[in-house]
Amino acid sequence: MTHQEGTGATTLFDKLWHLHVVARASDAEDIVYIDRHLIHEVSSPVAFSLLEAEGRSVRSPENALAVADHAVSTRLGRANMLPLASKQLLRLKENADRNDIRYIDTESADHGIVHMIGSEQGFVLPGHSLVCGDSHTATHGAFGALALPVGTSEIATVLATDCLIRRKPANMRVHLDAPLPPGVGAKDVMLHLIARIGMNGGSGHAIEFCGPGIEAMPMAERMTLCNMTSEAGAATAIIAPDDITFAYLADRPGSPKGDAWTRAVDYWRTLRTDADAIFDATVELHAADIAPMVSWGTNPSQAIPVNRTLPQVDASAPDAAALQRAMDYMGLSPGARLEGLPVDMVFIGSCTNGRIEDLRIAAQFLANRKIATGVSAIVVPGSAKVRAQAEAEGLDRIFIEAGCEWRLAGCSMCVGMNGDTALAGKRVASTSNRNFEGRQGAGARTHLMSPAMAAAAALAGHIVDIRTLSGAVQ
Amino acid sequence: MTWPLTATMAPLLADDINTDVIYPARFLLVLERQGLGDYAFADLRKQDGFVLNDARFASAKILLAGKAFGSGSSREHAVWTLVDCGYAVIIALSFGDIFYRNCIDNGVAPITVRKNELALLAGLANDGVAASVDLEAEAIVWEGGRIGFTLIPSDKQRLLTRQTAIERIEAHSEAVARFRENRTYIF
Repeated sequence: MTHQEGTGATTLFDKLWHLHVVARASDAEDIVYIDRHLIHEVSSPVAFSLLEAEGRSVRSPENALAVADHAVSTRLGRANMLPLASKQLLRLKENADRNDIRYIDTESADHGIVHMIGSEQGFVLPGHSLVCGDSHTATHGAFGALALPVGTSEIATVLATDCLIRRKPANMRVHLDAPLPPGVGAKDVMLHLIARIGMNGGSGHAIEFCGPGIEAMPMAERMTLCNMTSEAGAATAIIAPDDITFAYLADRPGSPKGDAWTRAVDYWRTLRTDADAIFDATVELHAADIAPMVSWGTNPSQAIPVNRTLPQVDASAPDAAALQRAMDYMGLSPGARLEGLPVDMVFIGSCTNGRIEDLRIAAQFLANRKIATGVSAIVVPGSAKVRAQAEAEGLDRIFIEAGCEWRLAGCSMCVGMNGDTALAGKRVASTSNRNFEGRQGAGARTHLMSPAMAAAAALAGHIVDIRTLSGAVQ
Repeated sequence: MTWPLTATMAPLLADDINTDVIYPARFLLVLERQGLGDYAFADLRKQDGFVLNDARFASAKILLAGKAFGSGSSREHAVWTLVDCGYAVIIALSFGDIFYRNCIDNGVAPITVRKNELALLAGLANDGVAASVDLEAEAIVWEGGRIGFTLIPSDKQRLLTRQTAIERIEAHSEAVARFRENRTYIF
């Protein structure tokens, strides 16, 4: 018997939560059943060691999928793999093999960043609950799934019991009123939102994205949105499944087939927020107000429209020192322009913007063009499937002829654990999700932006407002 | 860990110390959770005058921080490294959600206080005054002073008893088994 809070108008997130509650653990906590578990090489070793030390086995290995992504080399032949990274990868494979968990090898046609393969494999379906030991797990909420990021101890808990103990987060509604203007994409929506509500504006909340602007988005954009809610400190993200979701999922390996598919879709259509449901917080986004965004600072909330200038630092404000420090690190001053700021490196990839749709956008800019002298650019497809699709469409030729490096799938420069880093003082136009000090290399200066903006920056050798380019494309 | 804990405090105090700052990604290529103390704040430590380089705070077991301590990446290594440095309590204005839970899972008490209270504790830290953190009484006590705090009852219990989540869930194993077999949302 599932625990019910009440039968009033309920949000989608609360419905999914209550759907998965096995029992109350305490006054404030529920025992939540976890249907799916995505595992990668960095957060899992200690979890498996913990189970072994306690003589425990994995309860439902068929619910898990393991892949190495964070520190894998993206160079051809997986060359120059760091020895410790190889060791970690091997440990993941051993842990998976020993516990009958499906392990996707780096050379497999199904390989990719953990948050890419979850969707590509149809491993995460509407109504399912999922965990991954990674802060960008909310990506899968785009499918109307209950997607929870966990730490290593919680990985062990889920492996051993198929459950988590958690307090239910509150509900935040983010409503986008219309489809986005030309040149503006989901990445810009998120940088806009995080600048508005702050790095912890979503703390303790599950964010539901809704409205005509969301309904118009393909799955790739919805995943970008959900992915970056972690940068607002949110507990997770959710989007109600619809025909766009079902079209994406049809015929995926993990999707139901035949009569089961029909029944599944009928059920999935019921996964929506009730008309009168009450949210704990609401943000109204106006599509017309959203511009291509670029981060200038050292956290994702320090971002502005590309045609604006950096804020002034009010010396009496409590965050003055922190703002000044961020500007000093980034080699920028109050009131500086971002347009025209030279870039040294460009990174197109990551679980935020490493999908075929992102590569197509970048390719539209780069076709028959050459990137600026002095700029080095790497294009890292999020998965082997994306890579293969890109090659089938000739995008790889476009990237290579433009002067970019065409890499194998992995987290790459997003987290900079595999040697894909920038030198101190170098400016990186990056489609990833975090611009913390030193994340892309000690002293490296990250500017977060969309794939379109990153591609345009590669061509110009500096940050560009893509809306001002003649023949600018979406 | 025995409670109450009496220890000196290290006044880190800065806001928005994310887990990349607490534990840089280049050290994530490890397979164990022990012995990671050298990596704590590795990039901040390179800076002259970084407060935690001060030998006065080397034996502190209580860390004082500003808002959003531990935001960002879910890496539990950020907690393990602090444990290895000897910290058993982190007192901050607010915490990243995942980091907070990781603290509880490792027996580290994440205590939230207000700005004026943090300032008071910072003064004590700089004077080398030890404070006693009493989870049961939900109070930080020192000679001549006391600050009360709130812990969610189940978090307090977890910290005091060190009962693991696995143990708590196993108490409901029949309900879990029934749930597993009756998931109508699986097709």
